[in-house]
Amino acid sequence: MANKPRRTLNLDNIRIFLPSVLAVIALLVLGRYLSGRFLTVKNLGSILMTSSILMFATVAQNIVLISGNNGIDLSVGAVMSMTALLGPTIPMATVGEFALAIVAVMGMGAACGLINGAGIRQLGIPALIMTLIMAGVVTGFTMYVTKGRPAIELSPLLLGVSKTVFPMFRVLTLAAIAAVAALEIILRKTRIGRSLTLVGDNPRAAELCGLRVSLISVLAYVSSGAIAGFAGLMLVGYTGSAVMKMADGYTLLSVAAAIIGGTSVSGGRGSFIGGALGAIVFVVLNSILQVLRIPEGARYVIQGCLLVVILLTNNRSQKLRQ
Amino acid sequence: MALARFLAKNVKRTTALPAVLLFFTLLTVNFFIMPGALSRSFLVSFLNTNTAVICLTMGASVVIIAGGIDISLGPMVSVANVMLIKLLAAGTHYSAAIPLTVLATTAMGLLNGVLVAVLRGSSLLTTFAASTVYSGIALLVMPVPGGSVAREMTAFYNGSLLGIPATVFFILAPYVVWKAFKRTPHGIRLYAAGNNPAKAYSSAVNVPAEKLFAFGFAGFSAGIGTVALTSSIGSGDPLIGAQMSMMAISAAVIGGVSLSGGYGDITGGIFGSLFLGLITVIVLSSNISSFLQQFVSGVILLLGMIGAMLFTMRRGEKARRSADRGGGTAHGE
Amino acid sequence: MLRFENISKTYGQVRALSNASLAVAGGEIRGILGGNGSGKSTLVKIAGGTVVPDSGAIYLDGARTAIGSPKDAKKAGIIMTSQELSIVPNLTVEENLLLSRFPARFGILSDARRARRLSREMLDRLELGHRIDSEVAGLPENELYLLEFGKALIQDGDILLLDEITSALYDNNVAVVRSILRECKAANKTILFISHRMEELYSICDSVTVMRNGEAVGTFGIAEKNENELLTLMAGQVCPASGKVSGTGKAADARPVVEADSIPIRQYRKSVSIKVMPGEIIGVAGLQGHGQSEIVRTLHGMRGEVSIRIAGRPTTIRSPRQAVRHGFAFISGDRQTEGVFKEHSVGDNLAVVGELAKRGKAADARKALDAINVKYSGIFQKLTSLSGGNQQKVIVGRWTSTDPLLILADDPTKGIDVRARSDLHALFAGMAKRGSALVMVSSDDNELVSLCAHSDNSRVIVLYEGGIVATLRGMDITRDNIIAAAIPQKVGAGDGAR
Repeated sequence: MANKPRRTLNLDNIRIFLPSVLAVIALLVLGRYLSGRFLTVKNLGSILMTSSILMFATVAQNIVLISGNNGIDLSVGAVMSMTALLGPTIPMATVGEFALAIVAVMGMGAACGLINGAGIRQLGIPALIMTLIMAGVVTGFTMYVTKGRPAIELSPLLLGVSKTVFPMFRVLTLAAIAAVAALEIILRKTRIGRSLTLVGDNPRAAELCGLRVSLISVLAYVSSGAIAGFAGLMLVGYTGSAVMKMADGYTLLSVAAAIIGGTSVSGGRGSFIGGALGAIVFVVLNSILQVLRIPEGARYVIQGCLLVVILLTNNRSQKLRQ
Repeated sequence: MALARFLAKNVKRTTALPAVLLFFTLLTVNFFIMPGALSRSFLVSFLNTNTAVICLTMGASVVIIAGGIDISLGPMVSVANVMLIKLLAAGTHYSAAIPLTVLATTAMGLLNGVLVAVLRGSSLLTTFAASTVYSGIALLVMPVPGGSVAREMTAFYNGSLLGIPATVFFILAPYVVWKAFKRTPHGIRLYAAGNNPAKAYSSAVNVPAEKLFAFGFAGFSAGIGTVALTSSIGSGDPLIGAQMSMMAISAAVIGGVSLSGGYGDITGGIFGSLFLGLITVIVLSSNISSFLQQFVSGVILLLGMIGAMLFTMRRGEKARRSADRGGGTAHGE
Repeated sequence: MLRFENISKTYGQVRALSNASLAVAGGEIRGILGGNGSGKSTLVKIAGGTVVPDSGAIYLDGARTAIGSPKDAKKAGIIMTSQELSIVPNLTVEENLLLSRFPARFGILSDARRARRLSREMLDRLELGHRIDSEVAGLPENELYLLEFGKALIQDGDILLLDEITSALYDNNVAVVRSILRECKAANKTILFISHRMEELYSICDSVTVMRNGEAVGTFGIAEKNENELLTLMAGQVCPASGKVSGTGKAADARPVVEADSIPIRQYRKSVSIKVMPGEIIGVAGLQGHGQSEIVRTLHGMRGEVSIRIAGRPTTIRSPRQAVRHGFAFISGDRQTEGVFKEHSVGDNLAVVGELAKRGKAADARKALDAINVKYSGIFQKLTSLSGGNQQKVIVGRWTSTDPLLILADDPTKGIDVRARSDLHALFAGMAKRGSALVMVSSDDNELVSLCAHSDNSRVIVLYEGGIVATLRGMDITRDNIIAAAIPQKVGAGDGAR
């Protein structure tokens, strides 16, 4: 009975992360080939910055995907747009107020998540449909509250998330890395993290072992909403201005990034670090597409096709014949 | 006696009843709010606005019955819409452009079907990815809304044939195709495949083929709906179909089509979308600011879905309780 | 003629069939007899096209035939019934009956009139005529199996494979099946008849093949061997004694650790009461589906509210979570659905409840695994890479750290090989010695005998149609007594040879 080497260098993990790492390297090389300015510190820094926001969105999506029961959160983009547009209206003159504002937007997101969780868990509405409908409700709500005119002035503290701490790494980038690392540890080592994966893997067995399946499932959606709320505020801090529906594209990307990062669509298996790597892949890809001046429509087509390919390699349904 | 048997069979098994009741109740309510609501002109214009969604709902219903789900139907309409406008602008006669459009959406539907039924991709996520692809194509074909249609198309759409509003024929097209399909042995096979693919497979049902038909049919219905929509609005818009998928699926669920597959029929879907359309009319005609309208529509959609699920849950409880009495499963090898 | 030649099939670590060969002639009704894990169902599924063998071939009338799907089987004239039923719940009886073969005009249009005629004919023959338009959901089990039988017959194949088609049938239904099979035999059809009911094998079949451990160990004319001889061939190697399983031998004035006055057995509209002493082992026996599972599942909070007394104190258990908190453990025979976390490692599958979950240290997990003699190569390997028996050992091991008050087991050794089975018995014995009581449902009478017969703190209760019809202790716990109690009025009945 040989013992396996330390957990983190586990062969399984390498197998999960390798595609993303290789893809990033390949894309960076391609980018350098296409444009001399691609591998500059400035450009890489901004790639990392955009990735950071997507990383948060992917973390949110990952939590829900791992929680199983065909979980997915298609309201991530809408919630992000909501807090991006409504967040700046909260006073953020002092650090204290800034902190409260963060809590407030996370609360808004959490409330949406709670409605999602309740509909999915208590009423049995499939997650895809519930969160998609919620996305429409949240977007409509945002439109109503802002009356089509988004906030103009942003607090300097909020804009400070883009500040460079050291070359290539800005405040938000470091925050994202810290968050992803911390959450990965929570997922693997703590009881609540492992409960999440167990519930996602086999909710029936989990229930029979005494785990609180309903509570954990609903909490997954609440967490996802809260993190999406946070991500939206960071987004507007980064871009400096708010536009209607600005974060809608993040929904698809968060799903794609999570899946590329090794998360199973049926639940029970996933990695936040993998999701973060997946986020980088897509941001680099998007950056290259922009360098190539590929129009928005074509970008969607490429992203969609890529997601289809990933889905068909990772996540196919059972064969009917054994 | 065939009639009596027919009635007994269908009324007992009808899942469309709630949607039908909801619709007629709301129509009556509307009559009190808005005099002239039961007039022919109102009903005709109501149908005109909703024909496209009704077609989509029929397609969505069949896919769900077959055990799948297709949320790319809306973007399919966007692609087909801009494609049709571009074809007309390029000089193609509408008698050729229209069939080409329907063919294109059917092909898109079959493509979805291949990805889901044959290659066994997850129904939800694969069609979600497909919807991005189709939206992208629509944007590539026509980045900004514009264009126009042949006068004859609009005239036909707003007119009538043999005294029946033309829009009814658009709705009839997919309806007839589905009813014909149900008259073949494939009908029950599709229902079986949707409810329990493993048991259907054991019964020598070609599960992937039945699902493929469902997706193709949905594409076909989307095509008919696109022609209706294009004739109605008279121009092209790459984003026009964005919300339609959700409307269609919610209408189907409200109409009694169970998301677990194998239950329901498109009649329910039709009344479900009529019901949702009527709600939209009521919301629009009231004096709510335009900024509030999407929110209110969204909330109503949510409430409608919640209501439909509550109703299904209660029916599910009854079925489960009787199943318990009926007996458990066999064990062993 | 149907011939299987050297068919092998392995599912993961489990060898279902191992070079199994047998041949059946036209006009012959061949019974197939075998215990759990003998491979009989798999063999039939291979001929029926729902399972593809790893190696071996099927010959029809001397010609090698490839059967890759149920459609291929149907084309070859092979029709199969399924023990799990291939009946689809959302269709009516008529629609289910004709699902595989609906009459059509011009090849495409459904011929409703001919359909009605055919289904009425078949259903009347099966004495189910009144159900023709009924929804399938809610029908009693025996009617469902008759429907499954009718569905196979209506396809009019040359080869009929029947997998436990009679296990849920009443006597009058069996008589109908018997007469129909005689007609099929006269029409020169080839019939395979899997059953564990001896009287039927003797009264219906011409010959019988005994299967064991994935092989066909012998084929005999039905008159050549008597029941005992067949059973000996079936059981093969005798289960090694799992050692004296003694309870903790509590004093006579010990209070019951768990008492339930009324556990509802819904499908029979009865209820059962049970009293469990500390460290006691209670085996629950009887024909399958007579309420045994209900007892353990209800106690674990899986069937709604149940009022019980724990050490004299009244409590209500409303959910599995509450059951676990009160110190209950539940082990299911249906590992895939109710036990295994397939995306997780061996270590993670252990650390689900109790102390292991709280501390989650790899060292504790390794200690636990070694204690239960599990063969594994690394604590981080996926649970599904272990053999079925070892998987179940890990699942049981998951509960050891919680020191449960009461272990509720629903056929936990189902489908597990003999060696792993005795390891599991030892595991249970160890837990019983430390004071945990065990209520174990089992479909294997031998197992209950070896587990309970040698102990003074155990008993076997036998259920029949939702009621306890016998309680056996000590030397009274024998296979014959269990069987005799499980089938109260049927001993000596029927027209089978004995």
